[in-house]
Amino acid sequence: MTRFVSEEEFDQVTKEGFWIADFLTDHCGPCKMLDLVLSEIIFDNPEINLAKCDIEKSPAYVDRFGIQGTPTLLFMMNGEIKSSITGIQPRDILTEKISEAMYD
Amino acid sequence: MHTTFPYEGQINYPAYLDAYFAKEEAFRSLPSDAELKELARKSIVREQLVLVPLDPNEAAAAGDTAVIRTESSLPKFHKGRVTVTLGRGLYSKDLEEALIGKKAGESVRVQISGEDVFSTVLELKRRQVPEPTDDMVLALEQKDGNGHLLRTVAEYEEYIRQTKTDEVLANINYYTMEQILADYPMEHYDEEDIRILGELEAAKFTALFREQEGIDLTKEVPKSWEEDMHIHSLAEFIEKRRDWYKMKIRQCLIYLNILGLSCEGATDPLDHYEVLSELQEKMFRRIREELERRKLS
Repeated sequence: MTRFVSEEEFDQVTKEGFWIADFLTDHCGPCKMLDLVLSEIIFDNPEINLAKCDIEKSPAYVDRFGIQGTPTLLFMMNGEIKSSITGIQPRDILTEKISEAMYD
Repeated sequence: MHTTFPYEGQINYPAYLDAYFAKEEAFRSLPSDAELKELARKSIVREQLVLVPLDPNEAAAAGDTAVIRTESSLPKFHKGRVTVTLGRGLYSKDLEEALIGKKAGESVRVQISGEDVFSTVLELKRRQVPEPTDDMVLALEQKDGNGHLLRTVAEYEEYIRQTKTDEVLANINYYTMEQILADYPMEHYDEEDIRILGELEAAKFTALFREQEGIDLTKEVPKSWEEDMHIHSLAEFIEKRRDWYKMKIRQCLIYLNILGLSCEGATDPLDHYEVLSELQEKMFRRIREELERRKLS
């Protein structure tokens, strides 16, 4: 599942299963490139969920998660943050992070 | 512009491209039409994927989603219930391969890191992939690089083409420019050039913030500037951007040199704010031609 998630509903949405929280803005070029890499990973692995978190529409995200730049990804299992990464990343790095967060 | 480039005619750009293409992870071509169409399809339908339970007599295939139980002395492989897409390798390539061909209730035993791992299939599901539609594109709420909402499959495919093409060209341009900047250092920048670039940026930002944020930068600055950067006026902001103006001058001079253009009128960064972006577009075209040429040869 992929969906836009506001800060108010974040906890409820991500409390079950594996979620990638993608902190982005509308006009962030690297965010759009990263989104394409993520969309391929999610298509191939439908058990992975993606929460798209627009930090301009929900500025509270920045303080709450200490977002330093976009895109930033949080990898979460059953509501627990396992790890994070900032900046555009190649697919093999992302799948390694996802694998660790999901199963280690 | 008064700043001069001390290495006129010395940059051997094809040699920098050769060095880039020699890298193992280099992009060597633009994505094909078929690849772009497939990427667009995956991106559009990703929210519409439905996992349907398999008939109990049907065996798992690569790409199916399996819920399994694992038993092992390895903590990672001792879990009551794990969901895994078979054949993708996120959990364990060996275990996933072994599970392909099994039905619900069947078990496998594999060795991972010298330890036995015993696994039983609890549930199997198969992904159903619909054909992309304009309604699915609208539901994505995706905007292109100009902020326009994408409404049709055709628009989305074009957006993917542009994004992936820019990714390749930007990657090559970034690598080659990084090397060139390191090889051709510059120390002397004309103060008048820096002042004019500051004026251009001040005018640009003033118009932008008035239009988009309703803030008159000549009278006040956004709170985030004060809180995050400790900047209290537009003049202070411009002063802190001096190093960027130097970099802009240097990048423009390097691009002009590589492209064989003179710095005047439409290609003079002191003439209007967007010159660096326009020169970068020209560099992208140059790189694109080079990719075509290398593919042909």
